[in-house]
Amino acid sequence: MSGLQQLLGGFAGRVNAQPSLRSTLAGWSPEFFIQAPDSGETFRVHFQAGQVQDVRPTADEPGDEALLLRGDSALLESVFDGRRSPLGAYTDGELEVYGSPKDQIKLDVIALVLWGA
Amino acid sequence: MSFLRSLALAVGMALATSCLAMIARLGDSAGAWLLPALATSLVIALTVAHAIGRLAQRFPSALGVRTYLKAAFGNTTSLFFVFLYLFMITLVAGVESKLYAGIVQQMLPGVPPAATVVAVFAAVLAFNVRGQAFSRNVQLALVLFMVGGLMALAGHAIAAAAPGALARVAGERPVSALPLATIGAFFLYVGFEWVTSSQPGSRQAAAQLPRVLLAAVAVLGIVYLAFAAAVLMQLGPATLAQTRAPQLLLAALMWGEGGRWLLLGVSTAAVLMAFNAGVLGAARLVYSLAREGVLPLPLARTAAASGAPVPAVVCIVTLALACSAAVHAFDAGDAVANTAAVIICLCYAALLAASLVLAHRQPRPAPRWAFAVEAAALAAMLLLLVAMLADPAAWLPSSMAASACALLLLCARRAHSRTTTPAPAAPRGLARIHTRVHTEKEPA
Repeated sequence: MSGLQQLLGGFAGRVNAQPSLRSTLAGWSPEFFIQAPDSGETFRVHFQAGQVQDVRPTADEPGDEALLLRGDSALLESVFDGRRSPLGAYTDGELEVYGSPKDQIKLDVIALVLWGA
Repeated sequence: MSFLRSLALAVGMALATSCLAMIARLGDSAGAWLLPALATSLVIALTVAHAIGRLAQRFPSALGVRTYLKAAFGNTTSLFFVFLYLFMITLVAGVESKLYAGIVQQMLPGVPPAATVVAVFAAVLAFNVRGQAFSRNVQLALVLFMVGGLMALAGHAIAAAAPGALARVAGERPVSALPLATIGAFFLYVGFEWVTSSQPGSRQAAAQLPRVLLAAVAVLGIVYLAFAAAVLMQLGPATLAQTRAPQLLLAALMWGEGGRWLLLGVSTAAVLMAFNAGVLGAARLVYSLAREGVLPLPLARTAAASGAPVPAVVCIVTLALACSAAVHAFDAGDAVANTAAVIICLCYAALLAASLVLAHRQPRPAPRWAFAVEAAALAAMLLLLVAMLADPAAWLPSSMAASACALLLLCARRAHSRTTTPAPAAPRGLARIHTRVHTEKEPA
């Protein structure tokens, strides 16, 4: 299991431990991928009933309409271990976010609750 | 389809009713020399589009000017130019609404200008609170109607013109009018880059941005050249001197009274699409600045149903409405338009410089000519700025622009210190706002 996968497991635990997010994310089940092109890793995050059900490595290429978070593996690790604000990384142009505006707003809410920024 | 939607945003932001008024003014001063002026400025605009396209390629899902300038010059400079851009959007909205209200009054003298302006802003507000997908679809429909209407009118006018009509006009104004006309014509293209500030959504749409920018400038060039040729052939420079709505005159000449009403519809589409594109991009910037803690936190709230940043949209529309009221009250359309022109030159110079700095700092594969052409465009932009500032007639708008710059620089410095100081309490408050909104409105 890679370092990023471990950190994503921790991320899932933190999302599921937030009661406020459970109602916010209820009914939200996007095709959500996290991709690190430099290490060739892609993970699929499966949401159901306001909870992260699992985070699995996948060989599937995310579809064009999927919610996708993309960046170098070092950057993603620094974001998911809390050293780097996802908003700062996005504004700096290092973290790429694709998906419908509504899905991106949900992701933003998760970032606000977990990272505070 | 995503290409067309992005193209509609880029074209819509630039192709406003004030552009047609400016073509009339340039046609009066330069006569047939307006056509080479438009072609020359098209080349300069394509160069700027290429530079911004390279930035969009480097930062595909980014926040446009905010990210580009932050990466090149740091946070304070980036915030300064974002504030400047937002200020310019409100200025342009003020000028554009005044012009449109004048056009409506020509056709419907009983309608007060204030009612026209409020109706336009209310419509744009309604489009945007329904979410980005809806307003982008509306934008595409408006642009197709506007471009289709103008091209049909121009095509008919050119086809119906007497042989040698353009050659006869050519001798009416001296070639010395060409440089000033080229400077003026450049401003017809500005605004296309605003599409980089709106959310691209999919990877495909983000990857298309560089081509969208170039295509938008090309479309604008074709429409302006066709329309300018049509009005010069059918109306002539002397008639153009007396109007700020050449599209209505030309439509009346070619299609009669019904044509005037059709072109009123086209003008309405133009003002709506320009405002809609402006609000789409500006609201995203305001939302993001609020998320960073630079602007008041409630501006980062969103509607649960549509995901639209409603407070940010309302904020931008309110500011634009206030600017519009000021432009009407002080009859300051020309001064405000010239102020906006100085500001846009500064912004373009900054974007070109950012492209050059980043290309030097983090080289990426690019054609050899790209660096030289962008450097030449930057020099052209600075020359343009100097030419504008050196004109005594432009000292009032230049002073207004300089005052705005000084004030916004102070704001940017304060905002920068706010973003670099850890403030855990504020985002947590925002998190509460967000979760409350989504919890209350989202169906479980």
